[in-house]
Formats: sequence, structure tokens, C-alpha cells
Amino acid sequence: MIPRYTRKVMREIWSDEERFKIWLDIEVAVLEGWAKKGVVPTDVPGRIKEKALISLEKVSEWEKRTGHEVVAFINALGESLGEDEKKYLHLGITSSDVMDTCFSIQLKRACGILEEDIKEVLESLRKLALMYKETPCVGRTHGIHAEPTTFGFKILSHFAEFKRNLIRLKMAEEEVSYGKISGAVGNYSTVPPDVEEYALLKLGLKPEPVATQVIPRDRYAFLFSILAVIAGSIERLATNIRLWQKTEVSEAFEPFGREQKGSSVMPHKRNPILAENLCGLVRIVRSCILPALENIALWEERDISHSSAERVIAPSATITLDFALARLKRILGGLEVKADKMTENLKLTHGLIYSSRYLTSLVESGVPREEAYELIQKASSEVAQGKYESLEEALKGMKVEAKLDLDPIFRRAFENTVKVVVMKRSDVLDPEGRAVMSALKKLGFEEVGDVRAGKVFFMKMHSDGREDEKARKMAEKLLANPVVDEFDVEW
Amino acid sequence: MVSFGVVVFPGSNCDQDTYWVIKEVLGCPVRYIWHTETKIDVQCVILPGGFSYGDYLRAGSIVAFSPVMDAVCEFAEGGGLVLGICNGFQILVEKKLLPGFLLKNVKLKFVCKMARLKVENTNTPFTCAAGEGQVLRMPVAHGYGNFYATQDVLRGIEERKLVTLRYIDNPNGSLNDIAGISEGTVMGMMPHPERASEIVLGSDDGLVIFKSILKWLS
Repeated sequence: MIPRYTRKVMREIWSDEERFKIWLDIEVAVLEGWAKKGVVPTDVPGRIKEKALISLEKVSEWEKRTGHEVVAFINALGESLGEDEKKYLHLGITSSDVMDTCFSIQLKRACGILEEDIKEVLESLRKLALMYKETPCVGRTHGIHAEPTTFGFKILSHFAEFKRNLIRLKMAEEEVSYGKISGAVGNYSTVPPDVEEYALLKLGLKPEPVATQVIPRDRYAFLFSILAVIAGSIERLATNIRLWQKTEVSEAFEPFGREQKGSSVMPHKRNPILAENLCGLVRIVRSCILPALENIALWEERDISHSSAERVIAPSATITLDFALARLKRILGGLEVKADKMTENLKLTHGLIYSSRYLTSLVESGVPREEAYELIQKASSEVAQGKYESLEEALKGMKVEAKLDLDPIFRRAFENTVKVVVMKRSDVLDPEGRAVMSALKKLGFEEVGDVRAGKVFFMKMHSDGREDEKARKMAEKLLANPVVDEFDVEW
Repeated sequence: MVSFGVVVFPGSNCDQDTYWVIKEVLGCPVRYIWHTETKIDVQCVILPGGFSYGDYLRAGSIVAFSPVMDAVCEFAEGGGLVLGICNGFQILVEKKLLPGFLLKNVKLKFVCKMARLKVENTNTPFTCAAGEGQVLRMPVAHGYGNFYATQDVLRGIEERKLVTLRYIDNPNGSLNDIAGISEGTVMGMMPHPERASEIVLGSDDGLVIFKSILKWLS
């Protein structure tokens, strides 16, 4: 992955330095296993760990000569060790014991980072869902206005999706938490299972139950599949953000920097480029699934076709996904939600979004379902053509049976909650506030100054929009007594 | 003979004491008026003490919107006599038939004791049988009796001599020690005259309020 879409911590997992470090850890762990069996002197693993110096150039030079990376590594490593140490290096094990065990360790670490990334996205989604839980917004199916919903509920579906993804990622992490130290064809011909068990336990992995020369690639394919699914979830959310930011919709906007520019020639432009960028990055992550699946079918005890592909897709998929999740979190943290526009857009179809309520109502009043459906469908078409101002009018115009009471259907479109805070006016004596203040002071809160006590009312309103006038009237007439109270109305 | 009506709201609890004094002590015709009634057919309406609607929201606030209160307003505007005692006073200020407001007692406690009052203005239907400056002893029992009005309203109340009764020992922090005010044919007072109309209860000073009503209407 290119530096532009790379974050430091994830990149370091895939660096050559880190890889060789892990290889060294594996070699040392194996030797400790041998030492327990008395095959290797007990001080050898420790001495190797201390003395080991791995130079990337040296490994590279050796690889030019040997054409074999692990042999090159062993040779390069041996140059920094004494004869009594280097003779034990790589005792009884095959290259893939080191390479594949290392691959699992790297992927496990990557999963850990991705899990944290997803948790942060979840937290951002949770906050948004709660904040806009009661913000009415039109629901669209096939891109067409369907029925009212709330913005928080839309966000909630993404929250639920990422929750599922977190579970899947944990499952995938478990799947790749397997190493192997079992020799050239996986049957412990040159290294016993207890050495494997010891070494892998130390490295935080479990022994592959049945291996060939390599760890079975279906394990890794499963992980890359999950990464592709997560990418798809990012894409769904990013796509929705782009749809909400469309000029005709204008319901939500991704953050835009103070000095940011949307076009080199059109000064008015403000584009959802971060969300678009995510949709692109997702294609890269998703593209890694195919090589991963194709890596499964290795010839018999192994062929090495998977290796080249894995060197590319492992860093590519994990680094890109890490970057994308972090960027997604940033978008969510600065998402500008236009509740007023959402309310406005609800009216675009002149009431057609309530057609299903009409259907229910007509059916309940005795009209056969098919007939009711056709009536409302016809009325809707008239409204859409501009012949009537609203579905209500259209139906009335079609002389639909008077037994139907249309008003409650529309009044119950959605609920708004208004909060009215009633406080005694500042010039009125507030003995309660004073008593609270002196009690707090007695408890040791010296810094408490003037305290005023008041009342809060939360009222659910069934109406088409924010009835500021009504709320104020309610406050003036009953909730507050203007002789001594002042009030504040908040939605 | 003056006909009285004692309004009963959900939560009123001094209605029976008031009814008793009017019937047995004054010997006048009296009936209960339920809060949903819409016609006043008596000469004097009394809003008794109690905890109408549990004092929810503000004491007397919810009751101010009962059907009977619209009738009481009309009745007062037409010159009918209306006396609000304790919760009745709170209802009258909520309904804006009298100015001001009754806040929580300044010491925040419910006050229940005998109070000494001074009659300030004997030119009202409710104090015309008393002497100027006469001291009356009657019980107070309330949590929200702290009379308040903004400075200019308070000045207006004093200038127009609307104060009928003042506390000698202010039990609740009322501004200017106001215990009762009267405007036109409406009076509100926090103390309970109906609990001080028979000597056996400790004082019959309260009777003078009711006797004033009889004097005014005869």
C-alpha cells in the first residue's frame, strides 16, 4: 500500500525489520523447546537472543547467493554468533515452520489493531445514533421516498453491522492464531510435537492440528474474506454519506476543513471526497480476497505460489483497512447533520409517504384490500402529477368513504420531544436554591455560588414539525406562571 | 340571608369545615359546588383550602383551568363575591383574579400555627364588619404562603389599599407581611377563618370575615 494510505503502526507489522525480529523469536523459542529436552544446551537460546544482530543488507546479500530467504537469514544471523551457537540454529525445522508461524503472528497483531479501529467506529456510530434517535428523516427504498424513519435509526443499522463485523474479526483472529513447527511434510519427522507445543505456546499461538509443510491456506482465506466483508460495510456507510450529501438531498455533510477547497475552478464546491476515497480504498481491500481464495489449492504438501501473493495482499489489505476505518471514524466524528432539511424533505411527496397508513385505515373500515390499494395508488398518481396538493385532498376529491378520519393519520407522522425548562425569574427569591447552596457548602463544596432550582418538562408532541408557537403557549399558559417564572423551550 | 356556595376541587379538604361554619354557625343556606359545574347560583362563592390536584405543577395551577373557574370569573366580573382561603387564594392568583403569587415559605417548611393578623382595610365586603387595626387570631397551615409581587405591582397593591390583612409575626416571608388582599369583590387570604369561628376551637375571630359578607350584602 502506498504511503498516502498507510498508518505507521500497521505498516511496522509488515516491515522487514519486524519480520526478521519475529523469525528470530521463533528460532529462539524452538531452541528453548529443544533445550527442555536436553538436546540443546540450556544457555544457548539465551546467548543467541543476546548476541543476535540482523542486518537487512546481509540477508539480502545472502539471498542473492542462495535464492532462499530463510537460508539467507540463518546465514546472516550466524555471522553475529559464535560456532557453539550457530550450529544449533534452525534445528530440525523447515523454513515454513518459521515463515508461516511468523505470518500468523503478524496477521494476529493486525487483527488486534483492526479490532480497536472498529471499536472506535462503533463508538462514533453509537453517539450519532443516540443523538439523532428522534430526528425524523425520510426512508428511501430504491432511491424513492418510502416512509418516515429517523436519522438515528439509519445510523443504528450501520452500528449493528459493525458490531457483527467485530465478532467476525475476532473469529477470524482466532482462525489465524495457529502456528506450525512440524517439519518438512508436517509429520514431525525431525522435530517432536512437544517442542512445537512449547514454542508456539510461548509465541501465543496454537499448534496446527494437521499441517503439510505449510499452515493450510483456508485459514488465511477466511480472514481475507472477513476483511472484504468489513470493507463492504465501510462502503455501505460511505455510500450513504455520499447520497445524503447530494445537493438535492443535503441531509448530512462530511467534515470540511476551514481552508479546504472543493474545486480548483468552482469556489462553491463542497464534495464528500473522504467518503468517496473510502469507496475506492474498499475496492483494494476487497480485491485481496481473490488471491487469498486461490491460495488454498496448493499442490500436495505445498507449493509456493501463495507466497508472492501473500507478501502483497497481507500488508495491502490490513494497512488499507486500518487506514479506511480511521478515516471513517474521522468522518463520523465531524458529520454535519441537517435536521431541518430532513424535515423539509419529508414533505417533498406531499404526503405520499403516509400511503400505507391510508391503506391500513381503509382496509380496517371495510374496504377490500385490492380495492383500497388501487384507490390509494390512483390518488398517489394524481398527487405526483400535481393535480392535488396532498394525498388527503386527492382521496377527498375521489370521494373516498367519509367513515375515514384522515387527520389522526397525519398528526401521528412522528413524535417530537420538546423540553421546557421553568425557572423562577432572577429577581424572585428562590428559597429552594438558597437551601441547596448552603447544603452544598456544608458538604465542603466551597466553590458553589448562586444556585437556582427549577423544573424541567419533557413533552412528546405528535405533529408535522417543530411547533415552537404551541410549545411556548403551553409554557406561558400552564407550565410557567409569568408572574414569577421564566421559561426556555428546546427541541 | 345570604346564599353561599363552597367549591369542591379534587384535593380540597377544608370544604366541609367551611360548609359547617356557614350552615351551623352563620345559619345561612349553603351548597357544595363541584369543580365541573358551569353555573353559579349563589350570592357568595368560597374557594376552600386543601391540596387541589396535589399542588402539582404549582399550587392551584391546574384547578385554575376547571370549568367552574370560568364561571367564577364571570360571576366575580358581574359583581359576585368570591372568597379564596389558603389553596383558594393560590387558585385566585393563578387565575389572575388577584395580583401576585404565593411562593414556597421562605424557611421551606410547612407552617402550622396560630397567627395574629391586623385588619388593614375595612372598606371591603370581607372586612367591613371589623374595626380598623383590629387584631384577629386564626390558624395558618400552608407550605406555599409566601406572598410575592414585582416591585411595581407591589407598590400598586399598597397604593390602591388592596391589602386587607397583614401578619403581625410574619410566618412565611410574605412581602410587606401580606396575609390577605382584596380587589373589587374578590378576596384571598392565607389564614383559615373557618377554623377560628367557634370559641371551642380556640378563637372565633374568623367569624368577622363571614359576618362582613352578610353585612355587605344586606
